[in-house]
Amino acid sequence: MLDRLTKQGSIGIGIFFPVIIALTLLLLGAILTGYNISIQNKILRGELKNRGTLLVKNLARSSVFSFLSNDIRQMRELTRSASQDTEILYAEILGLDGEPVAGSGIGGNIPVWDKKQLLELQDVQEVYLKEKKLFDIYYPILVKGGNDQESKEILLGRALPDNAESIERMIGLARVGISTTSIRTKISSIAFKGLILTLCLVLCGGLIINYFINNQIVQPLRRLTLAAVTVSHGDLRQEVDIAADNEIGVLAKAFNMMVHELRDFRTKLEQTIYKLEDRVKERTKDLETHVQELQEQIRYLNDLNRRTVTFVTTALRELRSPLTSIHGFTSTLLSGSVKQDSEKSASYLRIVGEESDRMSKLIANLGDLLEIQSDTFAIRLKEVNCKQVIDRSISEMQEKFPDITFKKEIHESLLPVKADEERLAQVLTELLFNAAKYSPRNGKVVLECEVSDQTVSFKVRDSGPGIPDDEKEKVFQHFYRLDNESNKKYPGSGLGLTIACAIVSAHGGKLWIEDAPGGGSLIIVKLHIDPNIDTPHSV
Amino acid sequence: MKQKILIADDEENLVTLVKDNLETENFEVVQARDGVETLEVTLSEMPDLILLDVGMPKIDGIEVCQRLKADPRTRDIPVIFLSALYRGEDVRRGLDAGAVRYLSKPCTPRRLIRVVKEEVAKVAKK
Repeated sequence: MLDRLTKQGSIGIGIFFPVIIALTLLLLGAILTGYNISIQNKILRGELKNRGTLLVKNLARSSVFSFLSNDIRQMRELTRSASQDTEILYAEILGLDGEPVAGSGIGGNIPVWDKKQLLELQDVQEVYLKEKKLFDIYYPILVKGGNDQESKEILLGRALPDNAESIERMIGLARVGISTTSIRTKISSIAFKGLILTLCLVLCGGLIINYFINNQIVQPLRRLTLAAVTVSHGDLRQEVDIAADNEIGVLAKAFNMMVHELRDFRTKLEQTIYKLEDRVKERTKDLETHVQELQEQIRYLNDLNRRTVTFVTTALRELRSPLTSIHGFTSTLLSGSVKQDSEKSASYLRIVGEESDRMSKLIANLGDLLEIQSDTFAIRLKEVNCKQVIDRSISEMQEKFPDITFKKEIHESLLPVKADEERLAQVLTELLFNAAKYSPRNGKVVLECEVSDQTVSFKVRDSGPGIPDDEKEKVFQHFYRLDNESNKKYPGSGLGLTIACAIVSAHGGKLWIEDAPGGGSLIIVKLHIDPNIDTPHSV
Repeated sequence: MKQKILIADDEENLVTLVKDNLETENFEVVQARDGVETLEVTLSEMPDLILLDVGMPKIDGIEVCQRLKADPRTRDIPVIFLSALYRGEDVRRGLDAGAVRYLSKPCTPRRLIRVVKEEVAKVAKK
């Protein structure tokens, strides 16, 4: 990441500034060297000119006598000695016509400066010949006195009288050519030294600046960048330790401040998120609970629907059997295959009557059950004398089962209870009917009633074969009948106990079956004395 | 020789009705009141056809039919179900158990006799 970021900039500060500074130093060095060279050039040229001037003057003065005496040999000697230095390219003595009288070196190859002006020469005249790289210097050979024999004598060493008038005149010219090549060499040397010095300066300056920039700017910036990248990756523990008392230091402090603020912000954000998560969890839990409740309701409704369908299906099936008999026997009778008034036709009619009764009872029970199980069903509570209800039920059953002995055991302390009298009678009658149905011929059915602790209990005991444990619960289901002969003799609707159970439940009571001591079954009904006072589940 | 029909049902009245009607039509009728008795009577009487109820005590009609069909001695006796169970799945269950016909109650004696005659005739042809 850091590499990617740093690569995007083509030249970093660490390179840019040292390069700029080095270039500046280089320029400065160049200017200084140039200036130095020009000054040195001037000085050296001056020196060279002075030397040439001195040399030409000396040559002019020393050659006066030899010139006057026209001593060519002497003059050659003088020019040779003047041109001994390597820098002196030539030394010549010229006549007034500008032609060399004596000379040494290469002077003959170099044309003489303007001849006309030469004659008017009073002092040193130097001419710079650029292409030859030399100073061509002229000086007049001057003598005092006239150009006559007497003057010559005097000049040749004979003393002049004191009053003799001194006349200075030019008799010839000394010429010296001095090479400027040495200047170039020296200048080159100076330039070279200057260059070396400049380079050293540049190198040292560059290194120092580089060190400074690297140390003071680039490294702190790198650390800041690294920290920024780390922060951008989410690590807010990053802080930069730059104590520098400059802009970078201020930047570092600002950066640390920012990270601190970010950390605080993130902490707050996290807390908010936690709170939100908690709320989401809470809501989700609520929703789950709702969904669960709904699922339970759906399950309940599905179950209810299934039970309703099963109930209706079973009810239809239960109606089919008697209907088949009624239909079959009547059609058989109508077909004429059985003689009228015969014993068979009488039995057929009896069967039709029985089956019709069975259907009627079934339809009545179905209606009863539907009413009891409907939401609008309400029991009409009033004070009931249990004894009267029991007597009524027993006498009804005694009539139906004449060979069964019905016995009641009622405790004397029996209080009036609050119940729906008709429904209570229906329950007791049904229980007695069942008990009698499953009891053997001449069997005994006992109905016991007692009140204790705000409850009244009715116990119906028969002398039948008893109900197996696994069927004790099933007998309360719709259309459930025990598989035995008694059921053939007194076919019921299969709804009696279901209805009894529903009525007891509507009273807030309970109904269950136990094995009677000494054989047979015992059906127990427990009701509260006053269902209005206490809650049903206290029973 | 009279053809023998076994009527297996726990409803006394229905048995009487079917028995009287079949006897009028010159069939010999034997009866059974529960599943166990049905299996016993079948083996002892070897009827030409069995009229079987589904909802019977001890062993239900479906299982009785399956057992009859599993026994090589009784496998070829045609079974007709006569039941108060009337839904499609009940009929399918009965036919799957190996019955040739499934009659739902209420069923008129005339229809019952016609079906019985048809099935007996099929066996006779074979």
